[in-house]
Amino acid sequence: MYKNISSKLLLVLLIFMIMPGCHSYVNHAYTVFTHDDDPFSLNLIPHTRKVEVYSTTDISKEYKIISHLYGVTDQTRVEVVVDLLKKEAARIGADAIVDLKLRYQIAGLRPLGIQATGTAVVYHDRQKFIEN
Amino acid sequence: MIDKSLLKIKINAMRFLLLILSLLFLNGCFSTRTWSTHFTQSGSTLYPKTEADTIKLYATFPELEYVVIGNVLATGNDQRQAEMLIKREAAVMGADAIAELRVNYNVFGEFSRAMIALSGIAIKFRKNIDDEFME
Repeated sequence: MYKNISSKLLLVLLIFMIMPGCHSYVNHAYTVFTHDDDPFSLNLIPHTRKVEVYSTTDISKEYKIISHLYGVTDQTRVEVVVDLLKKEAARIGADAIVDLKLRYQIAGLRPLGIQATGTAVVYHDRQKFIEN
Repeated sequence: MIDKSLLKIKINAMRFLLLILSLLFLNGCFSTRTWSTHFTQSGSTLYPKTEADTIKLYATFPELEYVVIGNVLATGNDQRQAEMLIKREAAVMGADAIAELRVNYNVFGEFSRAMIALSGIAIKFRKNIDDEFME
């Protein structure tokens, strides 16, 4: 009888030990503002529109950094995590995300999802337009 | 007597079910999977596919003039496999090299097995773009 109980207990323990390694991340993105400038002090009106995404900081337009963005997903498709960042950037009124960094989240011997970081920027010409 | 044998069968079936269940969890958690993907940045040109074997890897950006195409990332069970996969992704984008290559090395303790994740920026050398236009 003790043998039966201990074998069942062992199986249950095994399952509970494995389960934490199997849980999924919630798709999530968040913002850390740089300096004292948030989109409101820049007189930007947050609204959803097309946000451009660049892999490096070297882009053809002049810009001002407004925040750093972080995103994570348990999806294998890279578009999912990039869309999360784009939505977050659009919400805070950014024109583009520069310096996009992507990496796989690994737990044990398998990838759990994709992590992304980027810098939300507003173009100088748009900033001037808003100020005028 | 019949009830006892039925009970025994039920217990055995339950044990079998638990075993299958735990094996399924084990398979999901401990099997090694390789992933690779890429992201093309805004406004990037669609270049013809290149050969994965010719893709160069750089820890920083090279001194040669280049244009950025996008991000590439891959995982592998060893460095060779991860490099092969990330080069394939870059080749699909028409890149000549991967700059700012970053390595995330993960060892799974008890089994001493590794999973390597690579990420970088796919770039194309300007000299090769000119050559293609000349052709």
